[in-house]
Amino acid sequence: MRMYELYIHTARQGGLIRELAASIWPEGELLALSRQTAVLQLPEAPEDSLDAYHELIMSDVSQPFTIALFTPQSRSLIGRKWLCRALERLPFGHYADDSVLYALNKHFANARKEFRRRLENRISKHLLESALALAHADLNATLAAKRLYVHRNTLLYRLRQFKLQTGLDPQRFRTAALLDLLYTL
Amino acid sequence: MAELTFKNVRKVFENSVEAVNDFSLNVEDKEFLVIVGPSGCGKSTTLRMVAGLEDITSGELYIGDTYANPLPAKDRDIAMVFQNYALYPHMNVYENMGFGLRLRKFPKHEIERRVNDAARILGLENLLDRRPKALSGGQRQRVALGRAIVRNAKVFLMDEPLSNLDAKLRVQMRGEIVKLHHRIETTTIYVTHDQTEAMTMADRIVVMRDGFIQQVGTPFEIFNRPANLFVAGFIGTPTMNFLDGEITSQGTFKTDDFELVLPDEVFGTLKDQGYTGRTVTLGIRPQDVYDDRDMFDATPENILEYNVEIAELMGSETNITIDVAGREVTARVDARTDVGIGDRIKFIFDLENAHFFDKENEQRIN
Ligand SMILES: Nc1ncnc2c1ncn2[C@@H]1O[C@H](COP(=O)(O)OP(=O)(O)O)[C@@H](O)[C@H]1O
Ligand SMILES: [Mg+2]
Repeated sequence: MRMYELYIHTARQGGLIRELAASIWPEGELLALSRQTAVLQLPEAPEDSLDAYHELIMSDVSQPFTIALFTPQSRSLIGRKWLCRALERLPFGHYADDSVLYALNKHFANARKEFRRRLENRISKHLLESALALAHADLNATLAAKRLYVHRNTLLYRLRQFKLQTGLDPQRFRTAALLDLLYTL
Repeated sequence: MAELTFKNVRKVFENSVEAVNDFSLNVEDKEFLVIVGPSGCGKSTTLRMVAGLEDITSGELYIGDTYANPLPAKDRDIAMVFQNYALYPHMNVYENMGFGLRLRKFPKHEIERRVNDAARILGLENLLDRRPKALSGGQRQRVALGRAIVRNAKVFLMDEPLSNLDAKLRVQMRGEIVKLHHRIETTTIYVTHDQTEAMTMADRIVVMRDGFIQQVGTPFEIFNRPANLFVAGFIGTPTMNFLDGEITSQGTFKTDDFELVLPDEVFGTLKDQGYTGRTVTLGIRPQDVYDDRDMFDATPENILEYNVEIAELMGSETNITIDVAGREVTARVDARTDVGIGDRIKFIFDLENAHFFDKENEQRIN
């Protein structure tokens, strides 16, 4: 079964926020727990936006914390340990998956290598090549298709496949930036 | 209850974005202060610094007499209301409202008293057993307010609390929040990008742009004496009209296409400030452009005649856009004025109520 993972990271008093998370998502299962970070496994995507939950908890605990959500696809591209470390490096706030991946990529060489390995195991060379070409063409699909000598529709099809298979949308700026960093650094 | 004082407060994020600059302000006890400005101008960052959720890069913040920069958020005695009104889905309204107090280890009877008080103020008495799913958008927003009220905090901070409601409900909740403030009188900073909200709710308004305060004043002052071109254009609907022209030594405002005789007093001010012979920007609100229905004792030379480009019936008034030699001028006229697209229309500017701005630094003249 494919699960969502929710990360909650706080500067201090982590117990309180974990308790709160448990009362918002009683169906969630605690997967990992350090002094400052809790990881909950959720059977379904949360109903409201991350912003909404962040504000709800914030209004009760009055302390900075981070909440991040990983979709079943994107989640398995990267180790939990690396995600926890990335969260600790980010300013407090609320994040969807790819912005954490982006930060992670910026900070950790080993994580980058690992990420690349898993990505390449998961998708075909063509898909990766297409997503990278798009990133290097500043998200201009027509230009990217021309450079690859493929029809624009072929490229768009591959980009959709990339998204289906990884959970990362190559047509979003952040993903493009992520791929760019992964393969050009 | 408390006063808030900002002294040259500044926030620079790690990515070197300067979100707030040189922010100095005194928020009075019991005041309802509204910070307004376009998205990204630093409103939320300012609020979050007050709440203790962001560090202050430099400058000082005082809550009452206490130097608050180093105070952790939980020790500031501040309650926040946000844009999203998510609630704990598995708790009923009563539990949702009392939850913050329970976390703070308040005794049961005290929680009960406060929740019931807040429920009465907000008209939620009959909904206390309901789960969030069974509430309307407006009711949820009221519960979110209730969650803040029960805290009995010194200061309320509200960050765009009405942005997620539909237009009709937003107007209604605007009134309710103002009434609520009259009742409980907690010092409040309310943030919005919506100038109508600011104008209708505030005791005082702070207009921000790109991290800098542009003007602080009552809604009346901000509307009638905007400090610069930005404030003038941001506040008021329809938007103020702007026209560039030269102030001549004969006391007229001259463009390539027309020339208007300025009232003596207006010209006097411009002349005293050294603007004779210079180009300035004239600002005129659509409410101060009259068609011949209201043109009682107009100076004949000042009557302009141009074509109507757009006419929008707004109910009791009609907004018409006039093509003044390639520039668009909007006028708000009586709905009984019968004009259509392409019609010629005679109109005048009420120059007593015109605003003049320096063309270079965009500041108000006088
Ligand atoms: N955590 C952050 N890190 C970096 N930049 C930020 C952060 N939060 C806000 N900003 C930037 O600071 C500026 C002001 O943001 P904000 O206070 O949220 O504006 P507003 O609430 O008026 O829309 C924006 O340019 C925004 O991108
Ligand atoms: Mg904001």
